[in-house]
Order: sequence, then C-alpha cells, then structure tokens
Amino acid sequence: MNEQNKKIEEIVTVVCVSLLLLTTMIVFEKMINVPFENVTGEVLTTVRIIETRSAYCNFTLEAGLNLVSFFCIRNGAHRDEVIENITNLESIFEYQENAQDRWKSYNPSLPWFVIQDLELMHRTEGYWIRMRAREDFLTEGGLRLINYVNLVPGWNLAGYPTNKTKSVNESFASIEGNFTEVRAYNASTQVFTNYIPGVGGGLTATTPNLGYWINVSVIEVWVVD
Amino acid sequence: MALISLEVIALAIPPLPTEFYGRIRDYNNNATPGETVYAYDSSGTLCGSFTIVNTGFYGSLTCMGDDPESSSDEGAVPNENISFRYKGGFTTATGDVTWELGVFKYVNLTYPVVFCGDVFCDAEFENNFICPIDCPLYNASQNISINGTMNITSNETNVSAGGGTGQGAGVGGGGGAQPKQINRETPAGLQGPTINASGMEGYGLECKESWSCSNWSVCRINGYQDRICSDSNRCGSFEDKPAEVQKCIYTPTCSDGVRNGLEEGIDCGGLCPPCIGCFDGIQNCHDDKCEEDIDCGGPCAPCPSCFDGMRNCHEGLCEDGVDCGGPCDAKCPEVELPRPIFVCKKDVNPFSNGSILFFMVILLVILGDIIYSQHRIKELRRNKDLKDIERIKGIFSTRRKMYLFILITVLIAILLYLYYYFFVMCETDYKFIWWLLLLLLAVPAIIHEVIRYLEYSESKKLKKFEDLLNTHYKQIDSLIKIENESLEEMEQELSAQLDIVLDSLRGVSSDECVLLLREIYELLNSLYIKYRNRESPFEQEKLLCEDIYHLIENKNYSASIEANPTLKSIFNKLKILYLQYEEKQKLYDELDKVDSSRKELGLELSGGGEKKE
Repeated sequence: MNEQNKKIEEIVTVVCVSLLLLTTMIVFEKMINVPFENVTGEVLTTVRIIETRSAYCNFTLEAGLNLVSFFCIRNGAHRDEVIENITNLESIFEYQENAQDRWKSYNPSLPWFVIQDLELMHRTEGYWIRMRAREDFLTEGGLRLINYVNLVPGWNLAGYPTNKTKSVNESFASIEGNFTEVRAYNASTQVFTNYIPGVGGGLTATTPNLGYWINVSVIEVWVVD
Repeated sequence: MALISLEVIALAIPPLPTEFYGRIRDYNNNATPGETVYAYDSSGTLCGSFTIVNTGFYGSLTCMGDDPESSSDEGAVPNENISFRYKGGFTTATGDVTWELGVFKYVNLTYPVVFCGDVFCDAEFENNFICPIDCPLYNASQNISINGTMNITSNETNVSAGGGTGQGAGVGGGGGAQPKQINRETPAGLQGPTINASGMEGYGLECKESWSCSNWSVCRINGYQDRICSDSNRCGSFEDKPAEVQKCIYTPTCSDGVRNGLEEGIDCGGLCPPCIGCFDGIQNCHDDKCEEDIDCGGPCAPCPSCFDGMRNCHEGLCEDGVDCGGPCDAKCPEVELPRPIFVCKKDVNPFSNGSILFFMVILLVILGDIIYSQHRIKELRRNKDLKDIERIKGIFSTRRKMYLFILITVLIAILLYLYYYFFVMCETDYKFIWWLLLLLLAVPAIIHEVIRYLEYSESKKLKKFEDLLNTHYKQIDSLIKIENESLEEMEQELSAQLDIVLDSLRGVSSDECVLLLREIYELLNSLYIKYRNRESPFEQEKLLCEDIYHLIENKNYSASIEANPTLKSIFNKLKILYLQYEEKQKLYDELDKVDSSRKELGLELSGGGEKKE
C-alpha cells in the first residue's frame, strides 16, 4: 500500500466514525419518544356505560335469506349460544371487508370434516341467515346504550346494536359525510332498500334486529345508542 | 325468487359465496393435510382456496362471487362451472360444481384428472371393463357357482386360467376377439363363494387381492417413476392395489437433451463436456465461423494486437502502454509519476496505533452522556409532582442537551484527530492549516445551526401536542354530551316514577326517607330545567349525588324501601344514576386537566413565538 492510499484510508476512517456517531444520534432520536401520557397523565378516551336492563331479541326469520343483527348478544358470543334455538337454520354468513377470508360461514348440517370458520358472533355485526322455513326467533340478553361499530372503507355488513327505531338521518349522524350508501334487506318481500346521502331512497328508518350494508369512504366509527 | 332479487337489486354488495366441501383423493390415496385446493371460475379467475386440515377431506372452500358493477372479474357468476386444482394440476370433480349464491355444495375431487390411457388405474372411476389399458387383468363378467367353478364371458382374449396374460392363453382355448365362454376353477384368492355375482364391481365373492409389482422404472425427467402391478388372484378389485406412480428425484444426465443440473448449455458445461464457444479455451469453429486464435477472432471478439487501441497481452508478453512496449515494436514514451503531496513518517493506520483508543474514549464519553440523559428522562417521567408541561419541557431540554453534547464532542474529536494526523504524525505542506482553520471557524456556525434546528423541532413537537390535547378535549367533551343524553333519559324516567310514588305517600310526609326522596325529585326536576335552558347542571348533580349517597348509606331507610317494590326499583335506579354521575365526574376531572395543560401549552408556545421574533 503506498503512502497516498494510506492517507485516503485515514480520512475514510475519520468520516466513517463521524457517520457512526451521527447515526447513533438519529437512532436515539427515534428511541426516546415522548408518549401522550407525559402530557395528559391518565389517558381516557372511552366511557363504559353498563346497562343493567335485560333485553329480548324477538323477531321473525323468513324462509330463505334474512339480513339480521342481534342487539342483545354480547360481542364475542359463541355461535351455539345465539343460534341454539333456531331449528330451521340452514346457514349463516358473516362478511369482513378487510379480512383475508372475507366470508365466514356456518352450516349445522355439514359433516364433521368440514372446517367451519364462523365461531363467534357480535352484536355489532350483521349476518346473512338462510332459513329452510319461517321461524320466530327469541333470545334473552342485555342492552348496551352506546355502541361503537367500526367501519372500514368499502362495504361493511354492520349490526344495529340498539332496540330503538330511528330515522336514517339521526342514526347515521355520527358518520355523516363519510358514507356513500346504506342498504337493508326485507326478508319477507325479498327486496333491498337503500339510502344515499343527499339523494334519499327507500330506506327511511333503521330498525332493530336488521343488519345493514354500509359503504364508507374512510375508516369510521358508527355510534349507535 | 330471493336469489333473483339479490342478483338484480344488490348489484354492488359483495355477493354471498358458494361453499364447497367433500372428499379429495390423490392417486388413489387420501389427500394429506397442508396441501391446498384452489377453485377457479370458467374464465380462470381464482375464486377461493382451502388448505386441507383433515386427511382425505377439504372444505368448506369459499368461492367468491363476481361484483357485476366492476369491469374486472373477481369471481364466479351464478350457474358458472367451477374447476378445482390441486398440486398444480386439475382434478376430476364429482357433484354439482356450478356456482350459486350462498349455497353449500358437496363435491368430491380426484387428482389427477382421470382419463383412459393415463397409465394409472383410478380405483373409483376405472376398472378393466371401462379401461383395460389402465386397469389390465380384469375384464370379465362372471357367474360363479356354489361348487366353486366360474363361467366367464370374455370380450377380450387376454385372460388365462393361471393368472397370466396374453392373447388366446385362456383355458377355453381359441384366440380372436369374439366373446367366448370359459369354464374354470374359482381363483385361489376367492374366499367363500356366493351365487351369481357378476359385473364390474367384482366377482361378488370375498376375494383377497395379492398384488405383485415390477421394479420402479428409472426416474423420468418429469420427476415421476412408475411400475406395473398385477393381482395374481385377479380379483378385479383395486382396494389394496399399491401405487403404480410415485414422485422421485431426477438425476440430470449429459444426454437427456435438456439443460439441467450444473450444465451451462444443453448437455454441456458443468459436469458434462465443455460447451463449444468463445470461452472453452480451445481454438475451434462454431456459429458457421472459425476462431483465429484460442477463443478470439471469427465468431468471437477480435484477437489482441499492437493496433487495437487497448493495453493487453499477446504473443506471451504484455504491452507496457496502449499498443506499445512488450510484444509491440513501438516504444512507450516515458511518464513522470506524480509525487505524493506529503509523506507520513510513521505508520498512521488507526487500528495499529493509539488512534483507535482515542475514538473508543470519545464513544464511551458519548455513551455515558446518553445513559445519563436516559436516566434523567426516566426520572422526569416518574416525577408526578411536576406539572405535565414542565415534565415534557424537561424531557425535551435533557434530550437537546444530550444531542448538543454528542455533536460538540464529535466535532472536537474530528478537529483534534485531523490536527494530530496532519501536523504531528505526518510531514505536511502547511497549506492544510487553512483547511483546519476553516473547519475551526465552521464549528461554531454548525453548532449554532444545530441549536436553531433543535429549538424549531421542539416547538413543532409542542405544537403537535397542542393539537393532540385539543382533539382529546373535544373527544371528552363529546363523551360528556353523550353521557348527558343518556342521563337525561334516566332522570326523566326516575322523575316520573318518583312523582307517582310520592303522590301515593302523601300521608307519610314526615318520614325522613320520603322527605329525602322528595328532595331528590325536586332536584331531578330542576336538572331537567337546566338541561332545557342549556345551563350547566353541575351544581344540581352534585347535590343530587349527595342526596343519593345519603339514601344509599343510611341503613334506617332500607326497611321502608324493602317494603315497597316500586320504591325498591327506584332505589336501584338511583344507585345506577349515582354510578353514572361518578363516571361523568371522572370525565369532568379529565376535561379540567386537559384544559389546564392546553392553556399552559398555549402560553408556552406564544411565549416561544415572541422570543423568536
């Protein structure tokens, strides 16, 4: 190695060490972040209001397809707890827009070897239920006054977790401006009704026990009380 | 009808899928867990898949439907046929494979696709009668009598009594393709004869298969090898038939006509003979031309010479310059080599002298500072006595000090090292001193700019915190509004109930409990007026809370409450109301805290702004 190369090597070493130190600084800049708790102390973003009142989900499931929700069940209830009393049930479908496997399903008459991925049911979800014959559904549960239904961009099959009938304007006030359409399905007439903000449509009120297809443009939280 | 409505009206809603399930066989064996089954619509779009969990079964495989509003093909449409693939190949599907909205379908799959002539006898779809090519040795419908003799009517002529195959070798004699009557003894494998068992399904007797197979063939280039198995008892069933095809690892050869293994071309290069070309180290002919020397000229790059404008080697010698010296006649002009700018007397390699130690010390100092700063920041976080904003400011300030310390240490280290390098270790031209002076002047400017940057970044972060606090404030405020709505409903309900109860208790107005309830009733009414006038209900709520607490805590009231069921129901609701007020109080406390932090931060930011100006 000649003298000139040695000098170049020296300068390169100095530059490398400096870069190393600067990189350390940058790494620590990322590591030592200040969380929100340092400013506000305790973080409080949600209020838990527990409803002690018991409630009944009572509605009719028509033969064929029904688009329903169960306001009186808890989130994460096992499917058997919810559907144990339905004798004419053919199948249930749940839709998750963002999931890898968008459709989850359950059919009680399938053989043992079939893997059925619909295990848990939630009051904030809507369900397609196919019935072999008309049947009345009745189950006892609880009612929670404020519910937050998470919506993702695209179509969401949402539940309506309240026992109150409301006008669509009142019902969807919390997601106003961020939803493009809502659809409901009338199982007895086998017809969809819809509501488009600014345009209107056949859907004028949201009623308990029905599921709703909601199309939103951004991530939203639908407040249902 | 329901489905039609769905199709016509629900255009853009994701259509319900079809769920497929059933058995799946792989070369007469049950498919193994971990393998995946794929479903495709008729245009080849993947509509779903399922990874096998239970041996020999799949499902439910969700096959998605197509969104008719979009131009792209996302899945199947009603009545479209679905095909299934397994291990990269198609399968034979039995069952209803059409796509329908929200329906479960039982479809059995067999891999690979079964067809006569595929040199594989599928136990479910093929037998000797349907496909004698794939399933040899069994080709007859037979009537077997109780005494153990068989009447065989053969359509082919390849049945022999002893179990061998070959034209005209049967006991009944006579070759040719005409059906013929054969009388023979019951095969050795039949156990317990029955009457009139015939047809493709077998003899109808319990026949024990006895399979013997030839050796596996050489592994073919497609990664499979095969063999032929025959049942010496010729039961005609294939329950115990061993596999005739299996996967194998193909070993590439230099004569298989394919470029594989380490070969550089088809059957050449690597472990095979070298490929003929411009890099084989041999002077030869290829591509319709001949090389002029080893791997140059002709089809290859031109051979090096004294006129090619490049410095290279040829004729056993190397040129000293471009086309001069060495093998060339032309002599190279003499060039004066550049002299080094300065010469170091000593060895300046930082890894062989004390320089590395110098850097290690600097690094340790910096590390010490970082650890101290971390400790200080942790202490600030723990210290609950300080106000929130003061804590955050303290953290920012400690971090800023740490950065400045590191920067200054690095700059001083560089300066010292350069001085040491240029003026102590090496004999140097003094023009480098100007570089050093320039760097010395630049250092304060750099530090100044870094301080300015850190201050700017700090104020930006504080601004972000202000936004965060504002959002938090709004969130809590809206939660309080929601809470108020809920409370209003409950308060009205309670007020109505209390009104009825107090009416009925007019006669006992002197009872302390009744008096307290009356006070609660009045407070509830005044609360309602406050809500209506959009005034703060805070004071009334506080009084109400005190009264409810008094009611709950006083044991003397429990007897009169227990005696009256309506009163008991009201009492329970008042308890819930009390808990709700407590929740709301927490929200108010949080709101106050965030508000004071917000104001303080606002002051800090406006003060910082004035300072800058």
